Amino acid sequence: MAYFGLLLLAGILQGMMVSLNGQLGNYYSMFGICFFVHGIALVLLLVYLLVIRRQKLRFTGAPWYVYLVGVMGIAIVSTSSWCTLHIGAAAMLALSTAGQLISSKLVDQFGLFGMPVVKLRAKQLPGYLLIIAGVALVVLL
Amino acid sequence: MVYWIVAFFNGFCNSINKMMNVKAGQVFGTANGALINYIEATFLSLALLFLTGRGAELSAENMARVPLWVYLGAVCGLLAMVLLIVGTLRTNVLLSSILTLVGNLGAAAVLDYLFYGIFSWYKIAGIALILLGTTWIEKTGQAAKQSADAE
Repeated sequence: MAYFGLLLLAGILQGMMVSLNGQLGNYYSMFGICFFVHGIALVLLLVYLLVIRRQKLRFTGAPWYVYLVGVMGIAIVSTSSWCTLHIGAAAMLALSTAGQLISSKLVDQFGLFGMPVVKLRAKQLPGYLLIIAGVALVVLL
Repeated sequence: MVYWIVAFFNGFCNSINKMMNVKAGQVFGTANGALINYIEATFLSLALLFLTGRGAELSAENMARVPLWVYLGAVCGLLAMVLLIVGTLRTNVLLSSILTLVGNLGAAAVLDYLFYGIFSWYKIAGIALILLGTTWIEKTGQAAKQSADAE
């Protein structure tokens, strides 16, 4: 039961993150926001790894596309902050959730990125329709 | 309209980013894998900041006028990542997706009200429909996977 609470708290923190990063947009440009969001987390993570866990860091040996993860991080933080400032965090997260579910389904459907092929089933369609209706309510009304 | 398209595209990026992070975690361990993301993004955004002629944003004078609590988004993001890993390892994907989404959209709705004064019951109903749809997709997906495994 305690882990349910942890997951709920993780979600709340994510919502707060998107909202607060949107607020940073009142003071900084998109790349300024990205710098602070990633820079602060970098310092905290370095303290955790080097001081608390005393772990030796490794940076080689991953497939090439893993090293594009920072570019993707910038794209995510800058677009979410920019959109949140203009349409609010709830609308931004509702649309982003729809984008995530649909892109995940495309990856499964065609087995992209080496993932196993899992075809869309007719039984799943009502779920997607509910999400589209929900996103429309959050964004339009 | 452009904000809607970009927000939707943000979800696409999130999905791809998740797969990259999973792979990085498998190779380097979760925290070390996440570190690669933060190092790259920090230096890349710093370079882009100066290349776009906005380096002055980092002046002490400019930074001092920003309330400290606004910087807490990064701390929230890092804590969320840790809690997600711990929670997901000890529950299942369906529960972890639903609970995270409840917290996620719920907090966003509350903060929209606090920061921008935006509130409507339609939004709350919309969030409920998104949760219902996600639950439906995850449940039917799991059932399909179980029957495929049984075959």
